[in-house]
Amino acid sequence: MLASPALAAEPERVSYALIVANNASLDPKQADLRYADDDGARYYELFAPQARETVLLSVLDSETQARHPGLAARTQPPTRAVLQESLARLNARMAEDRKAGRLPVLYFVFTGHGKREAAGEGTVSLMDGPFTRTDLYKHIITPSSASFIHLIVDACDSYFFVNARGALPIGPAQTAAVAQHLASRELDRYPRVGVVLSTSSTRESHEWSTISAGVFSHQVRSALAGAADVNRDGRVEYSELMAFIAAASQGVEDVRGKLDIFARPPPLDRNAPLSDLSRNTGLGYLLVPEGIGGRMWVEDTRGVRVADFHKERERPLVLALPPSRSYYLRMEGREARLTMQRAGAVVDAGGLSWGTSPVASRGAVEEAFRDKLFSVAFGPRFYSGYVASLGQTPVAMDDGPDLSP
Amino acid sequence: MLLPLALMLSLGATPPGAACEGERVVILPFDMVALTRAEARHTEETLRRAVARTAGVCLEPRKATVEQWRALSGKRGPCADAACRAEEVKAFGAKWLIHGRVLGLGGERTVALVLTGTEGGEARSTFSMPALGAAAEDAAAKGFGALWGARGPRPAEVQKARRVWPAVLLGTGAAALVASAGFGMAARATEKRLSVGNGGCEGEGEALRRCFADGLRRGERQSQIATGLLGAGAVLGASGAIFFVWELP
Repeated sequence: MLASPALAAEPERVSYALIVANNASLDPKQADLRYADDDGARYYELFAPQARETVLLSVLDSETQARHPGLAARTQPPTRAVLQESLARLNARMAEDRKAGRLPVLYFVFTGHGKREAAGEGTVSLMDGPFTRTDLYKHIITPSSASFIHLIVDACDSYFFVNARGALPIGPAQTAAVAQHLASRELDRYPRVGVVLSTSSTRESHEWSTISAGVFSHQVRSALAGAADVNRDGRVEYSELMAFIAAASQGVEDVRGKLDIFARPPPLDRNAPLSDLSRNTGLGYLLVPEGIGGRMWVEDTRGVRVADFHKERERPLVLALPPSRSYYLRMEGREARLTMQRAGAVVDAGGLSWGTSPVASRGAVEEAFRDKLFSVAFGPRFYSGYVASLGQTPVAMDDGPDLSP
Repeated sequence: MLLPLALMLSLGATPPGAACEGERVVILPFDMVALTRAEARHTEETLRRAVARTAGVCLEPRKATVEQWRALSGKRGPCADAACRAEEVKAFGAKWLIHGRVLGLGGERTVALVLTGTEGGEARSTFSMPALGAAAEDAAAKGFGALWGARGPRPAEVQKARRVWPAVLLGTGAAALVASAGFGMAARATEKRLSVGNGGCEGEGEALRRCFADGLRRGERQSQIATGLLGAGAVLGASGAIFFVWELP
């Protein structure tokens, strides 16, 4: 670890991730999702190198298994029993961490269908039945040994798709229901818990086939990879993630594409980071320096879109990427290939060789989303305005280089 | 007396008034990611010491660099092309400009350097650097060494390389002209010898005739070689002169 007197006094932060990704719907009238399992696989690849244990509960479809070879062998089905068993194991490990003076952090991620039951209680769909709000508090939040819990929920209605699925159940959007419940006073009893939820007002479910993922989850992963780190301190806090997603979605005018989120940092520490690149994460790092700007995305050689962002030309940006893999850094009509040789390696994008790249065009709606998402640059200016509009306290901006003689 | 000198040397500064023979290098204050300003400054100082020890490098003192930085504040921006970078190097009055950044990612300290020359060409180096001690200085020296070795050809070298061909052509042309004059004089001497008396030949009849004929052939050959060399020398000399003018800056 980096030697710093202030940091040295802090307990070691260790993380665990429990990811539940379920394409299937419990309602016969509701179509299955296509990319919830892809989102689960990508969350797994983001968390696995940096967490002590990452659990993925998902039945990956054939396309996803082909895209992520070997991952299916590390998954378990998203059933209530397996979920509870996984939680018990993680809680035991986190309790040991606390005894050893470490600071365990649990990420609980859900991607899939959600629904509001007749009684008004929000649920998300597991393979063998609904998992209710009551279950959330009873099985995940209350008994947790974690010092902090970050809940990331991308339920059915929060998906931001190009292809409308339609035929979704009548009633309030699941995410709105979840948000309503989580934002209630009950959540306030758990100051160690932070939440990030999509609260799309639309009733239709969309997935964006260009990225083979849910747009909300893709934006969250892009932010956590470092694209939202506005003050370059290596940490992504809740306010940075919210502003990043707001900037990414701002250009979208189609009502089906409007993406709103609800996020609340853990009241115990409102600056608790969702992501901390300065830790020994087991990831490699892509440095995109000043002078390179605009809308860009990173795709690996399997065709998995890892992150999207719209970078200001005046500031550098660092993205954390899984190591031992090759990637393409792309922008409109141009691409550069890079290889992340090992964990901890830093690749300077300023030294990459750029070539031309073909631009796929698939359809009018898709083009509209392609052109609008991430169309607004994210940087200190947008962040400051966004945070000020919400009346929140911003993160401290970096002062730049030391100019004392 | 010794302390200020030691301080100056440790900071990589050239003592005022002391002529530094080498290429002028400016290191801009380090930027940082996931590290504090103090840590970035510490890393920068480590690199400065390594650069100052490099032969053929005249490192501008940090104070002067910071003053220029402040003076240029607002006029500078990130460059996307070689012309902009060249302007930036010239603005700092340097032959080489180093942009540095230190990143505290993944529990490691990584330094990313960009060396820019007066023509806007770039060389980049990224290397891990321990936080403290002699190992940090070694890593800085290695990292900078790799960067310094990878820098593009210096302008003087380019000029030198460019001027080789005109010199070769002019030299060869001159040599051809000298040789031409030599053969011309030899042909003239042969002509003179054959024009007087028996032309240096002895004997009578067939032997005398053969001696004259041989003398004439030798004179003719010398004359032809002189003419050929004269032409070649003229062409080479003219070509050399044309290339020389063409490559004038």
